[in-house]
Amino acid sequence: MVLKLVGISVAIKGKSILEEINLEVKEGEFISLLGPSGCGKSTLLKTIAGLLTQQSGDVLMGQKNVNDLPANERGAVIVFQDLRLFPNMTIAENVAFPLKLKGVPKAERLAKAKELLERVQLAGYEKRKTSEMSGGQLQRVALARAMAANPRILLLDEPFSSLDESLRQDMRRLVLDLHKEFGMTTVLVTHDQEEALMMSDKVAVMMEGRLIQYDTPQVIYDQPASVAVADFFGGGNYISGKVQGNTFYSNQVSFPLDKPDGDYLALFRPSTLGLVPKKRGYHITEMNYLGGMWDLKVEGQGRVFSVRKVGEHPYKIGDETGLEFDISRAIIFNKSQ
Amino acid sequence: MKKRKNILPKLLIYAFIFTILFPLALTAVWAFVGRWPWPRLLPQSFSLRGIEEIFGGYSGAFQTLGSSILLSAVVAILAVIVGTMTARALVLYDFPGKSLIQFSTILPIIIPSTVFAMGTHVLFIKVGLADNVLGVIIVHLICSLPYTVKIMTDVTAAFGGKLEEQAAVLGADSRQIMKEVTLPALMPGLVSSACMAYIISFGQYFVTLIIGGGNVKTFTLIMVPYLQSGDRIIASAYSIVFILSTLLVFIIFELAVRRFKTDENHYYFV
Amino acid sequence: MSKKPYLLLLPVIFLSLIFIVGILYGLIQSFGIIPSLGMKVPTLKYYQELFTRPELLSSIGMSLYIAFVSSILATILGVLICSLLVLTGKGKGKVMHLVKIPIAIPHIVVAMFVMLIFAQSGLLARVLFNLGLLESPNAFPTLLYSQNGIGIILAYLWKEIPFVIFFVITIMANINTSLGEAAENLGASRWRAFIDITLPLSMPSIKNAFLIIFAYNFGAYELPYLLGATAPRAIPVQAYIEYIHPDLLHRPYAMALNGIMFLVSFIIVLIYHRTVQRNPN
Ligand SMILES: Nc1ncnc2c1ncn2[C@@H]1O[C@H](COP(=O)(O)OP(=O)(O)OP(=O)(O)O)[C@@H](O)[C@H]1O
Ligand SMILES: [Mg+2]
Repeated sequence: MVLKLVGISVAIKGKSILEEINLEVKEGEFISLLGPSGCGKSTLLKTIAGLLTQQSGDVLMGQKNVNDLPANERGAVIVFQDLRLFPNMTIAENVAFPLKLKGVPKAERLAKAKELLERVQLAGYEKRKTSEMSGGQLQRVALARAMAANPRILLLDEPFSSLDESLRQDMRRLVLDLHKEFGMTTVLVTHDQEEALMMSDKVAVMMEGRLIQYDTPQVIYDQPASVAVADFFGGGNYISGKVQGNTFYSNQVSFPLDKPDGDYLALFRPSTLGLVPKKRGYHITEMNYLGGMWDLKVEGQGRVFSVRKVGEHPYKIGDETGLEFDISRAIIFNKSQ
Repeated sequence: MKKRKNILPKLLIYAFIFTILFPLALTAVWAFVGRWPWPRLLPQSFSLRGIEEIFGGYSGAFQTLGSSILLSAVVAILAVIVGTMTARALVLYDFPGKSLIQFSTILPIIIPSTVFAMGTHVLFIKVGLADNVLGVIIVHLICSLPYTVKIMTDVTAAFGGKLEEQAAVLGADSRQIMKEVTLPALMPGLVSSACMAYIISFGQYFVTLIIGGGNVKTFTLIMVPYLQSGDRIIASAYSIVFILSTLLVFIIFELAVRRFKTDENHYYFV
Repeated sequence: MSKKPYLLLLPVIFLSLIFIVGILYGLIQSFGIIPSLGMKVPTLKYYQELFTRPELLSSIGMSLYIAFVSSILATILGVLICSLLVLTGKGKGKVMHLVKIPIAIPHIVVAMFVMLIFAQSGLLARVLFNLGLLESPNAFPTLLYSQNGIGIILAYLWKEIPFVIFFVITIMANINTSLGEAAENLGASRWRAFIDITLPLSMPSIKNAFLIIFAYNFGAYELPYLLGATAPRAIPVQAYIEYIHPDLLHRPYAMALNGIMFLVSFIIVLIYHRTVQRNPN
């Protein structure tokens, strides 16, 4: 099911929360929605699902305008961050709930629930109460219940945020497997940029109620639309400079750049900087181990640079080196914009 | 050392519990007293005079008890319905005038019913609601509403419409949401507010006296003269019947709800 | 803006209107306006007279006395017992069921409890007599129907100490477990933590419980009627007597007494509403 948002604006209590959101998710695509806390991600999901009504704009599902369709007829299922399992039902009843709504006979729907619970590795938990399950288990129940509704569009609102790293890995795997198996169009809201880059076909970055950039993970990382987006995906070393006659000039590095004259900012991610042992001018001031790689802080010419070294390296604190810039991977922002 | 420190609080708590229970026990004894003259510490004889006075037909007390229970049950049900609607509006929506509504729902707790009853009586005489049951139901409803609104607001706020949103995206229409999610979630609150409204209506004296104008007889109304005349045996018998009937109604409320709960599904409330 | 909340509020708005209009009717009559009796000119005469007729003035004094003593005592004792329940961990289960009993028992029944125990021929007098501490029933102090109002106050205490506990205990227990533990963890003793953290944070609730029972005890009819002295009468009792006076010209006095009760309670409502708005929950 194609999902298309055209010029969506939402206000709550007279306060504008979403402004002019345009977004298209193709049939079966998996996208991530990313942005700082309070930027309106959950609001956007609720608007898609029909729980909130937009002030203006259209929600389209499979070419059909669903503005006037109530939530229960849209077929867009949200898995909320706070899970919202029904405390008065057992685990199996929770999962069977969407089928009950469709009038599926009891035996049949409980059998289906059992099947789905097995699918999320919770076989044998059917009769439990929600209060007798761990956080990670409940998360899987919520996912199974959403799948039972046979969603055409699945909306996941930070479903992994309360889990520890290894459970998160499992859940990511599970979600991707389910996505592959059932092929529903999926929107995943997350705080975690690595998660977004790793899991999705496309990434949408939101800030303060606006969609800033929507593209593939590679483009988002390598060609961020603004400094804010770049910072959200790890930031790096910013160097102020000027372009004159198709050359970028700065204190640290100069290179040819085919841009009109003006003030620019060049971003070098830590992985695009290299140390040159034979040269001089910079001192290593700090070394942090990141697991399989090192983050080295290098000081020189009045400022500090962050350099990523994969694997082992011969440096120690206090060593003097030179710094080299991989100019082909520089990210350039026009300062006057 | 530590142990001795803990005795005093416990003692005080037990004294408090005793203070609650002792008058009830004393009343239960008095209800069956035949003679208990000064200065005896224990009754001289027992009799069923008090109980017979109530159930003995000619006083009409038994019929009044029945109609009184009915009246208060109607008030309780209406109060629960109105309380639930009000709570829903207050919790789930934001609208101009919200604070004013909240303010006016607490008024009847604090503005004395004496003030309210006399003024309303004048109003009700004008519109034909004085001296009849409907008028009494309306004023009892007004007196109990602050409590049902408070209880239902707490319960509604506790699940905050979140489960309803979840049910909607899973495909439930508004009728299904009501039956499968809203009612079960509100159920404990519904019982408590029904009980609360019932007590307030059933124990109401002054308001009933004025608005009912003697035409509407409730159990409290026919009980007061015995209290004034100092007939301790009959007054105690009335009190005991009052308390036991209240208990019975609470049990019925609870059972009615439990029946509803087991209708189709087992609900587990913790 | 959706119309839905207003639909849901329709019944409560209707009932509130009856309540407010009812009170306005009474207030209007307190200014001497009863068109059906040919009284059409607003006047403050009745209020002025209230403050010149000694028996009415002492009614106001009586009501204030009862309300202050009973609600202050109920609040202090209620908070004390509530604190004990919270600190000893007995604030749940059976004890709380017992605490609810007095809330469910109407004032007229409580009046009878007081009669059975504290009348001059009541159980307490009998016990004292049998212990040889009392010569005759008449030697027992008059607690009922007397100007000291002790019977009324005792009845209010029996009903309202549990009310205060019920009203305050949930929030007090919650604060005590979360913040109290934190304070203990920082080295405060259990009592210190309770007095420095839990009690101040429970104050809005305690204040509201006090306001509710004060307003009730100031304006309620039943207990002063059943257990009170004939002179001076509490305001509500006096107001009712004026209200049912065969001479309808007495009605404005009733309404003026109501007007005074209204004024006092309205001030209380405003304070209450403000604390609630400032401390939701
Ligand atoms: N019911 C509401 N009333 C008023 N403001 C609201 C309401 N719901 C959300 N908001 C506001 O809308 C903005 C967006 O909220 P939303 O929940 O969509 O953020 P989010 O991006 O999901 O944040 P998070 O990552 O913390 O979940 C916030 O500024 C929030 O304060
Ligand atoms: Mg959110």
